[in-house]
Amino acid sequence: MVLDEILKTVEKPARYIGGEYGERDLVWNKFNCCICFPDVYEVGMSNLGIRIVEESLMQVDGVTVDRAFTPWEDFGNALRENKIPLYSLGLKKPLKDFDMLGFSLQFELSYTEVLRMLDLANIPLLSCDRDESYPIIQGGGPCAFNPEPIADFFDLFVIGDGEEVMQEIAKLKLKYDSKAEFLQAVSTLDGVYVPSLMQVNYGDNRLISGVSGKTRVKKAVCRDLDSAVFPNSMTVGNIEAVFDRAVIEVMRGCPRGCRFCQAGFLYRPIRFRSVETLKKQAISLIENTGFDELSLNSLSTGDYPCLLELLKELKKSLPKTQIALPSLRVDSFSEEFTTQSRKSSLTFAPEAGTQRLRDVINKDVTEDEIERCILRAIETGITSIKLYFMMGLPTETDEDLDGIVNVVYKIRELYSKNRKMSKSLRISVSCSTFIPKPFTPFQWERQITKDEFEQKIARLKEKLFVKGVNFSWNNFEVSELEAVLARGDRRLSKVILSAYRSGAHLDAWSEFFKPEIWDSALKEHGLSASDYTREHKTDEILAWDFVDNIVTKDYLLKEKEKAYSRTVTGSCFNGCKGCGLQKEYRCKL
Amino acid sequence: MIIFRYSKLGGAEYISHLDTLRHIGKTLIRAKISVEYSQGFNPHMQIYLSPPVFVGLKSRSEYCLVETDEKAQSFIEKFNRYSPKNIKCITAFETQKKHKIAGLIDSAEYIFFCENKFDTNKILSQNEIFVDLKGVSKDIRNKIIDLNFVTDNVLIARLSFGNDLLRADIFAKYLTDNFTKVLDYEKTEAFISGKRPEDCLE
Ligand code: SF4
Repeated sequence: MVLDEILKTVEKPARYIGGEYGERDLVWNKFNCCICFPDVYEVGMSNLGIRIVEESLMQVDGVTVDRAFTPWEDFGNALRENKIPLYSLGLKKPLKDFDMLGFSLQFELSYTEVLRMLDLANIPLLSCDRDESYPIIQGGGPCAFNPEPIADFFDLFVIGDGEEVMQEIAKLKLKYDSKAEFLQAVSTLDGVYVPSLMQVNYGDNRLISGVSGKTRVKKAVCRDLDSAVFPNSMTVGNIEAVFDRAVIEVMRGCPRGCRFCQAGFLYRPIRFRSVETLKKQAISLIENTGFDELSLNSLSTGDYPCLLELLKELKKSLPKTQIALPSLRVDSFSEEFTTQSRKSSLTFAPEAGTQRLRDVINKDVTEDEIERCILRAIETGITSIKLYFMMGLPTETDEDLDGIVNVVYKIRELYSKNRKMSKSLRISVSCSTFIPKPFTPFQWERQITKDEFEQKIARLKEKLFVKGVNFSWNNFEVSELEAVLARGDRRLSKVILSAYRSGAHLDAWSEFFKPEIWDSALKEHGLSASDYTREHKTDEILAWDFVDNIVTKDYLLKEKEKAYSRTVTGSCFNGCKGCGLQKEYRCKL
Repeated sequence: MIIFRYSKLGGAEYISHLDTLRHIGKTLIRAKISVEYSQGFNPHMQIYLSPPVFVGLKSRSEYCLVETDEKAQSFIEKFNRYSPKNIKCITAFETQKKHKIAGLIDSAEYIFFCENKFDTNKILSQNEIFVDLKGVSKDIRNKIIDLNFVTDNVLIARLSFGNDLLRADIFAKYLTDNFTKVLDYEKTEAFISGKRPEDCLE
């Protein structure tokens, strides 16, 4: 009744009621896990990773998997005021009753939401304050590759592909009652990191001087993607999800090796699903959900070797379904794809404005290719183009920024000469600040300062504030915090806790993000953002060095050197580059 | 064409009007009920809902017109097999005319579960009843069509709907403020000039 009263007063109450179409009927089981997504319902409902993990856990006997999302501010406050603990959506059980909470860590800025969810569930935030009566708190997803900033809050992390190792974890949880025994047992699995089993020491220079205990964790890799677990249905959100469509994963890993792109290095080796498997998965997803759109996901779908064959098959079997191809690269944009979709806008990401800088970042797309692709798009009747660039990349100069402007002007010129539509062209240019990320060749680089950021934006504004062009950029403080948390060490757990206690929450949402809170939280613990955004020496111990991403540090160093000498490595399609993985895995290219 | 009546209960009352339309569309696709699409660049399914109710109102009397050749009985079975748990088809009938149900429904019946019974003439005998609607005082008397206690706690109320809508939550607040605490309520019937759509539309 109280809950009903609350639901009547909050925004989008359907986020909190469960009962979605396609939801399994759950029963309380021997091992009960709740997948927790530290962002709102409509964002989480679009996430493929949590569905894969859910499906794989459900295949283990005795296991039940439920889910929970972070509540929006209004609902969170109402739960708190009415002393209602945060509950799961399927069984409507308090999160505290579960045996394990599995947090999906997609984005560094969601860390305070992890704390808020635990807090709303009346679960102590620090792992050392939780006894056996509390659920095991587990984290996974891309951010788990450098879990150190949030090490104090979690009992264990899964690093790498989750579908197989999560099943092993569930089986061990069914076997061991004692938390200590369980953590000891799981820590022997590839892909499992138990922070309490490793100690980190710091030297006088405030840098890490060494680690002890269990000091090496190798990422988990799902060897055979084609036979890997994949849900044949998905729940249809009560409210429209950010991406309200069916999703299949055509490949994992990316052959391109762009030097700034963390995902490109984390998800290696490169693996594909077969056309036959994908077709089966697509048909069953569309039949079971009623979605009219199917998205072919991967980091670079245009590189999927059988894309044309797959599109043909899908067109035959699912003639009414719209096919979405996200993350299509400029050079793989061919006529066949454009005529498939009725979209009037084209999105692509040259990332840098000059050929020189694109060579530095190993984005091997040429001026010519960009032009050809734009021309083709114009011919098919496209009237709006979205461009994504990065600024603050290593070695960037004013000339490279001017290059961004040149690309935009060139597109305008091409359009006026070749236009098919009477409508004038709209170009939106979006610039984000480069964030050096762990496990990339740029993991040692520095991030630009606020002064540099402002100068660069001013330069771009001068030339991009023109008719028909919409120029936007990311908030600097958000990018800075992301950089701090991405390359952070364990000392940041205290900072995150202080920030949360001082009111930081829903940081990924601009209306809630308060940089001052983070500033003072860092200061309170004798740290500053520049401790993390500075250039890192190649011989210093990095917080994430204990994680074995299998791609070797030597390879990353070589790539870094090649970046500075403007040498393109190119794509793995032109031959294996020997990143280290080849010793254990075979990329089928 | 089919007009069907459906319920939104057990949580589905919190699904907005637009999302309800989205769920009905997906249900029809899953159920493989073939529905006409509009012409044009962005074709959409020809389905039309009765007037929106506010988010949070439980209802057993929502209506929807679908352009389809499906027969009523098989429509009900197929729909319910593929619809979300808490959006269920109660009845359906075939019609030849594309009735604009959104504009036709002019009153609705509700059950109010009350703490105590009171003399409903205290309301019905008044000539005007002013309530505060977002800072504006409005007369709701002529929107209250009929009131009847069927047990000591259950009040059946017929209230104006459509263009001249009196929202059930506003009426519930009026009852709570002046007569008895309302514990819960739901919409049970919708009427076109006093008749249920299934009894008057052909
Ligand atoms: S092993 Fe070779 S082919 Fe595979 S990702 Fe590494 S460099 Fe590319």
